[in-house]
Amino acid sequence: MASTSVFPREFGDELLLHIFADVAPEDNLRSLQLVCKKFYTVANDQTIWKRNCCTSFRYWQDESWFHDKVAGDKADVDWKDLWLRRRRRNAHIARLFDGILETKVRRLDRFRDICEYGYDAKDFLLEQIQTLDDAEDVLARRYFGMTILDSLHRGMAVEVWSRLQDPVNPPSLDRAFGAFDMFVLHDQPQDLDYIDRWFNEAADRFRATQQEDWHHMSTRSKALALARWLRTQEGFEGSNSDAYRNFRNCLIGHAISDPEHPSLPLVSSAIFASVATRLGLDAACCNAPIHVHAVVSSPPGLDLDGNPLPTPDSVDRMYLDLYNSPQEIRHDDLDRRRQAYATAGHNHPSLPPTSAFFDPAPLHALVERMANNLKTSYSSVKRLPEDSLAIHPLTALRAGDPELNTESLLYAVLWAHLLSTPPTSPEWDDGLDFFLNRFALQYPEDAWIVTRHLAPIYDSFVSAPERRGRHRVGWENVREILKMLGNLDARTPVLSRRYTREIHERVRYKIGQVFRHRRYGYVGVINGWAAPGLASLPTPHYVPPEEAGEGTAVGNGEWEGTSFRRGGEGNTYYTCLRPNCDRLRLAQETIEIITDPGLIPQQLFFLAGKFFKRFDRETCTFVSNITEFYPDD
Amino acid sequence: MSDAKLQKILLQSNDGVTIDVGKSPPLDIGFWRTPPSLYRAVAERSVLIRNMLEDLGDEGIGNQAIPIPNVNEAVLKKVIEWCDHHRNDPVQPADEEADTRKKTTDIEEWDQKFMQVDQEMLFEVILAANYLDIKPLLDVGCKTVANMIKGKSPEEIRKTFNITNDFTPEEEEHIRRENEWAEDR
Repeated sequence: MASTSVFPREFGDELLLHIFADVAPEDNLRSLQLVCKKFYTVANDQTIWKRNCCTSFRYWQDESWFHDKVAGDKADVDWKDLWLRRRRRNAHIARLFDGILETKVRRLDRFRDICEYGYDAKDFLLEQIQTLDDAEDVLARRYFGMTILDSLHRGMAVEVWSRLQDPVNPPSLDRAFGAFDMFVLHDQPQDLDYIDRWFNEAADRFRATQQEDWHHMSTRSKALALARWLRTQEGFEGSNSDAYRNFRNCLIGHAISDPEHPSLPLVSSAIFASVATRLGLDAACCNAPIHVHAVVSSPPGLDLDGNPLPTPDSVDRMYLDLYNSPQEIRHDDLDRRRQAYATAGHNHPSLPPTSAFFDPAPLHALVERMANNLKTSYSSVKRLPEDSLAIHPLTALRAGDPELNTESLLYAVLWAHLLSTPPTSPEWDDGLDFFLNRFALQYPEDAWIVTRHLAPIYDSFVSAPERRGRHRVGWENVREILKMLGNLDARTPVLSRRYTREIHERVRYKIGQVFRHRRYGYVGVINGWAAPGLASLPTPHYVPPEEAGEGTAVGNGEWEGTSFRRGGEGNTYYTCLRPNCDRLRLAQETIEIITDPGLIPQQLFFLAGKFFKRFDRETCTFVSNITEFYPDD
Repeated sequence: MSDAKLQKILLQSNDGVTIDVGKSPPLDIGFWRTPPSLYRAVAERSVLIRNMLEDLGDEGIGNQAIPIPNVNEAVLKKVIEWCDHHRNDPVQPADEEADTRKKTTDIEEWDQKFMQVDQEMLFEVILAANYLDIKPLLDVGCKTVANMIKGKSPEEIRKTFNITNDFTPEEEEHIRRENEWAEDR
């Protein structure tokens, strides 16, 4: 019997389009287009695919290109093709990601391959971070999703800093500062694009409050109007003094998006200068000791009030300190500050140079300065006892574990030092060993960033004639560390099986069991064992200071590298995951198994994703994702 | 305001039945209590009727029924039922671009129940909503059809809507390849 239905006979293309626009793009491609020719034509309509591009994906590597195209005329973009290319990209990323979950072998290559997609990988990674609790491998997905996203963000930050010395294409001040935010951004929206957009919009908001005669206003009136507006209308009033060392005061993305706008003088001045620059003013920061201020220069040949100057290329300057007031700081006040600094007996015996107070500072000096501020904050945190209540306000940020964020910001400081110091300087490698150690032990997923941005600088540093003859080993040698990480990464797992009754009896506990240390009380998760002795423990691992036989241990203890250690034959040893340390060695008799999930610190549920798939509440154990090492556990 | 003058709104379906907007279910319970302004709010969910009422003026219409030539009685009653339930909804912004970012096939519960009708009625309601220019009803109807397509194979869709396949196997294969998204290329 022939169809008597009004659908689709009486439905015009426009009505079909309306229906098809609500169909998921995957259903559209897989089914709708194959129903009949009429459906095929309508389901391919560019308006549908433009909409799908906007709804299916939020982040694009070429963000500005994409937004221009969405806002513009549709005719020059094949939206379906764009959607398909992006979807295929996501499929490839998903395959790389599954590979990461499946085996530890060649993870670094896969980290790099995903990160090289840039923001095109971000949607996928955010989805992994939001994996639902009941997923079979929820902890692993969340851990690696976040770890790769963090690395991707750091890669963008380092790219910005890699241009600090570039005279042709230097980054803007807000991006150079925003790069610090990227180290603790996680899944939050305040990224470099957000920061850039915020400043553009702030400039627009300010312009809207000004009269028509803006163009005729003098440089001085413009700068003062902006400073007044930022303080009174937008609420930029610095931070209160007892919260001065809080990490968030150093983060420009945090300062602009937090309703309280907490900031250091350095950040306040950078905010002023960044809005002013977008309004066409020539604004920057002065790197004065103790307290940074902003400087605005007049156009060449005119003074700040618009009167001609004696020579056509001379300029006039004014100084502002948004942190303290919307008023101009007078030249002689600055001079007094300079004198006062010298007489206050700071470590510098002589008067600081006038340029520090009166000239715009180069970008790399300001980044270096910010890094030093963060380092001071880091030291303030580390000076406090571990359980001090004062730590919380110092380290509180929008997202992420405070302890891990603290380490992340120190890592940012180390990067910033290496990239703001020119490699021609003999001190360039002063912090290199410390940096390489941090990188290799805590952020090996950044090997792609080190390869891309640090290794070339290192090569040029060591090839300088005065350094050429010196043989550099271990933590002083970027190439060697990269090679070591590559070797570790490529190494096939060594199986530890419970073949014999003897092993069963000797190794009492299993991978994934949660315990409390009998002596020190910390809670950890077992992620390795050896029977007997130490020889087959997974490497690298840490040796706790109190158990390290010889030598002095630092921090979490000595790092056991690729060398195998003999000894301890009579005992059974394990490695465990605990906060801030992913493989700590311990002996069987120090383990006391616990069965109350409430005793497990929150941070461990995140970090556990590195070795485990999920947590089983009933048995209070983590389900192993390292069966390639321990197939019987 | 002019609504006090207008006592009732009558619509005439294409099969010649005159329907009192105020008398359609469920309003006929306690009809006497329903203020006249309500009929107007109900009828004005339709942009077509609203424009007509504006153009003709209350005197122009008087007590005449407004002809709705494309819609039959059963469908028209169904549409009025929807308009009555949604008479107090805020007017949607006309701006089409405003909703490009959000896309959802979620339908509120009442509307879901409302749309549980046989397939032909559903299509007729969509056509009527389109003709009468009732955008929110059209949206709900289209979403309902979109949900019927969700997860179905081409053959299942053809079966559901009784559509004949006019592709050759080669053409089908070509489209399948063109639309593949399994890997980066």
